Amino acid sequence: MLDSSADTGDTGIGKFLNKATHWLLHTQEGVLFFIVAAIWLFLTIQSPVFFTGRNIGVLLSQVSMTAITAVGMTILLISGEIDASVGSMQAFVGVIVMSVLNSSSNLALGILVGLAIGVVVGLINSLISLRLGINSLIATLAMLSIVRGAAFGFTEASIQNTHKIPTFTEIGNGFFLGVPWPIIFFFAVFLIFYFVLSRTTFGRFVHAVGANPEAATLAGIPVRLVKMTGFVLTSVLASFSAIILLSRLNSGQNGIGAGFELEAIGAVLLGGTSLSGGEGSMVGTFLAVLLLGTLKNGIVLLDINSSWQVAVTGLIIIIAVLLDARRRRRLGQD
Amino acid sequence: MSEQTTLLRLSGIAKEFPGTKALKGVDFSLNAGEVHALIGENGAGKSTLIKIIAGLYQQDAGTIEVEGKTVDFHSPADSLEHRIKVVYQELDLVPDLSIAENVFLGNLPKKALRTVDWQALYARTSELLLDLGLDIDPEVPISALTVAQQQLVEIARALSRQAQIIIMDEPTSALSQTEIESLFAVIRRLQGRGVGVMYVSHKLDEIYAIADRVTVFRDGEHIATEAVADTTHSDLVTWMVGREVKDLYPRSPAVRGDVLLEVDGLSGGNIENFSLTVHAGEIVAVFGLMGSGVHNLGRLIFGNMPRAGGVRLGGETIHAKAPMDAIRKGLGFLTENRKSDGLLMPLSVKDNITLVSVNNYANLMVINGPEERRATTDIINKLSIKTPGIAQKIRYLSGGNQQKSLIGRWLLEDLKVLMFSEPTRGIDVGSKAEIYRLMDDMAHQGMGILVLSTELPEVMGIADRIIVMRQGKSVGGWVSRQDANEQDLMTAATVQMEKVV
Repeated sequence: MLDSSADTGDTGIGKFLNKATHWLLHTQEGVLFFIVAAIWLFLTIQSPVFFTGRNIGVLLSQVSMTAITAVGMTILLISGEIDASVGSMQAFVGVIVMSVLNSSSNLALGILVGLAIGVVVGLINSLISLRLGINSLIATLAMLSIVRGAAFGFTEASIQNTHKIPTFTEIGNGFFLGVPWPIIFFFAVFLIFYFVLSRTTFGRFVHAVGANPEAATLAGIPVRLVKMTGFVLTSVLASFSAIILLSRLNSGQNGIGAGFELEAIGAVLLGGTSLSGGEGSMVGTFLAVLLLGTLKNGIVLLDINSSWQVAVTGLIIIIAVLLDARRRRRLGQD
Repeated sequence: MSEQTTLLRLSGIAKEFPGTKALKGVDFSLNAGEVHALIGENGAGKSTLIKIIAGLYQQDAGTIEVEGKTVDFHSPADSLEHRIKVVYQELDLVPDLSIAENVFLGNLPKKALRTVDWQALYARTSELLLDLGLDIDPEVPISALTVAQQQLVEIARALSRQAQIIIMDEPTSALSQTEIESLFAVIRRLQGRGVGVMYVSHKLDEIYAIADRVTVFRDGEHIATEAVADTTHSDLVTWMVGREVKDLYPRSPAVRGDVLLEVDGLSGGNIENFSLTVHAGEIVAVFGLMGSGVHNLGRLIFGNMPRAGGVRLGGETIHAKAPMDAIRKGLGFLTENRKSDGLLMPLSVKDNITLVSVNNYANLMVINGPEERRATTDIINKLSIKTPGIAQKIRYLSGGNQQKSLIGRWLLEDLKVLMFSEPTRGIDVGSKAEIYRLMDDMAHQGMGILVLSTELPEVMGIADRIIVMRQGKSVGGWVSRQDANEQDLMTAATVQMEKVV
C-alpha cells in the first residue's frame, strides 16, 4: 500500500527544509550546486571583478554555445545514444552559413540553411546508428571527421564577413534589456527542453527507450522514432550553437570547435546523466555548464596560464565519471 | 551433525537502501557438509544477503565470520579469497569463451613465460567436469551449452578455486525435472566433500529433497531456522507469508462471451500452424515444456516476431509490424522476462505503471500530472503494490510487486485480451495467489486471458481450457480443467506420439 507521507504534494516548511537538505547532500545536482556556490564565493573574495554584472554576463555568454548543445545531448544520452559529431558541426555550419550570408545577404536564409544542416546530419547520424546498427559513439566519431573534412573541403581559409548585416553581429554580441542575447537563447532553450523532458510524453518516452528499449517496444513506443528525434534535436541545437559562435567570431573558420564535443558531453555526464541511458537531469546539465564556465573564467581572473582552460574539460569528465560510479555504488546498482 | 565446523556465520546483518530496510539484523550460519536452505517471499531480503556475502554490498551493521574469523568484504575478490562462490540465477559466464577459459577465468594455469598452459587448462577442466558428471569437450564455447550445463560450469569454477562455501540462488528456475535431479546429485557429492551449500529458493518441494536445515526470512527479518525434518510444508508457508494461504487458485466460472482473440494457422520461430481462440470471460492456457515454443507464441501473436498466419482481435486483424498495432486494438502482453522485457529499472513506479497509457493523460503531448498520479495511486491501491511512494524507483521493489506493477500497466488500458507468459515465474506464494485472483477478476469483467506457461500446477489451477504444445505444434486440447489430469498433460507435452485428443 501507498505510504502517503512519502507522496508528493507535501506542505510545511519543515518538510521543505528536509527535502532541500536531501537534495543538497544526496543528489548530483545538489553536490554540483554546492561546488559551484563554493567556487563563486571563493572567486568573489579573491577577485573584485568576479561578481559584477559584466563578468557574469561574459561567463554565461561564453558557455552558452556549449550549454545549448548540451541540452540536446542530455536528451540524446538519456535515450541511450550519443553524438560526438557536434564539434565539427561548429566549423561546418559556420563556413556554410557565412558564405550563404555573403552571397545572399539574407539573414533568415542563412540561419535556415544552418539549421537544415543540423537536421540532415542528425538524420544521417540516426540512420547509421539505428538502421545499420553501428554503436552511436563509433558512428558519430566517424561523422566527426567526415564533417570536419567537409568543412576543410568547402574552404581552405576562413570565410570573412563581407555582408555586414548588422542584426547578424547582434546574435552573439548584442543585448536585450541589458542581457546578452546568447544568454537569452541559452535560458530559453534550457527552459523549453526542461519542460519537454519532464512534462511531455516525448520526454517520458526518451527515458523509456534509454532505460530498456525492448520493454519500450513491447509497450508500443516507437523506439527508433524517439531516438531519431533525439539525434536530430542534438544536431539542430549544435547548429544553433554554431550560428551564435559564428556571430561572435565574425568569420567562418574551418578549424573551430575542436574539443567542443568533449565539453558538451562532459557537462552532460557531470550533470548526472547516465552513460547507460534511462536517467538524467536537465538541471544537472545546467549546473555542470555553469561549473565549466566558472572554472574557465576563474583561470583568467586569477591570472593562471590560460592554456589550462583546455585541460578543464578533461578534469570535468573525470569528476563526472567518479561521481557517477559513486552514485551507482551507493544506490546498489550493478 | 552438530559437531561439524561452522564455515560461515552471519550475525545481526542489517542493510538499508533509500526508502527500504532490506535487512533488519538477520542471522544465518552454514556448517561444513551441510545444505542450508534460505527461503522467503520476494522482498524478504534473500538477494541482499547473498550480495553482502558475495562482497557486492557492504552491510550497515552486523558481522560476517568465515571459519571463526571475522572478515570484512569490500569487493567480490575479498569474498572469493575466503573460498566463497555464488552461483547466481543469471549466470555470469563469458558466452564467447570456452568452458575451460570460463572455469579458470582470472586463474589460468601459466607456463614459465607467463603464457597460458593450454594443455594443463584443458586437462584440469575435463577432470573437474567429469567429477560433476559432465562429459563434454572443455574447448566448447559457453554459448553452445544448455542452462543446466552452464550451471555445472559455474560449479566447476567454484571447485577450481577450492570453494568451501557455495551459494546457489534459485538454481532450478530454468531447469527441467531430469536436470534438477542431476543437479541434486552434484550437490550431494559436494556435501560429501565437506562443502557447505547455501540453497536459496522458493520451491518448497526442493527444500525437502535436498536441504538439511532451513531458514525463513520475511520482510528483512529472520523468522525461523529449523531442521527440515522437523518442519511441515504448511509451517514453511505460514512463516514465509505470515498468514495461512488457503486458496492459491481462486478461479471461479465466469460467463463465456463472444470470441475475442482468434489465432489461425500461426507460424514463426519454431511454431508451426498453431491455432487457438480466446473468448470473453475465459482463461485459456497453453502448456509446454522449456523449448516447446510456448514463450514464442506470445511474441508471434503480439507482432513482435516475424510470422505467417492470421491474428484477429474482436474481428479486427492485428498486423505483424510492431506491438503498437496490437495494443491499439486492445491486446496486452506480459512476457516471461520481467527484467529484460518489462521493467524500466531507472524509472519510478509511476512511470513504469503508466508507460503504455501515458497518452491518455496527455493533451498535445503535455502530461497532466495530477491525473497521471491519481491513476497510478488507484492501481497501487487496487493491486496492493507495496511501495513507499509513487516516485520510488521500481528497482527497489520486490519481484512480486514489480510484477504487479507490470500488470497494472495493462489495467490502465482498455484491453480485450491480456496475454501472460509465465505469470508467476520467480514470484512467492503470497503474491502468486493475488495474481491469480487478478486474472479471475479480469475474466469476470469480460476480458479474455491467455496464459503461456511451463508450470503444470499453475495451468491446472487457473485455466478454463488447456492446450498442450510440443515442438511448436498443438498436440492436444482439454475442454475443461476438470477433464484434465497432470499425467495426461505431461505425457502429451513430452512423449513423441500421436495426438492425445
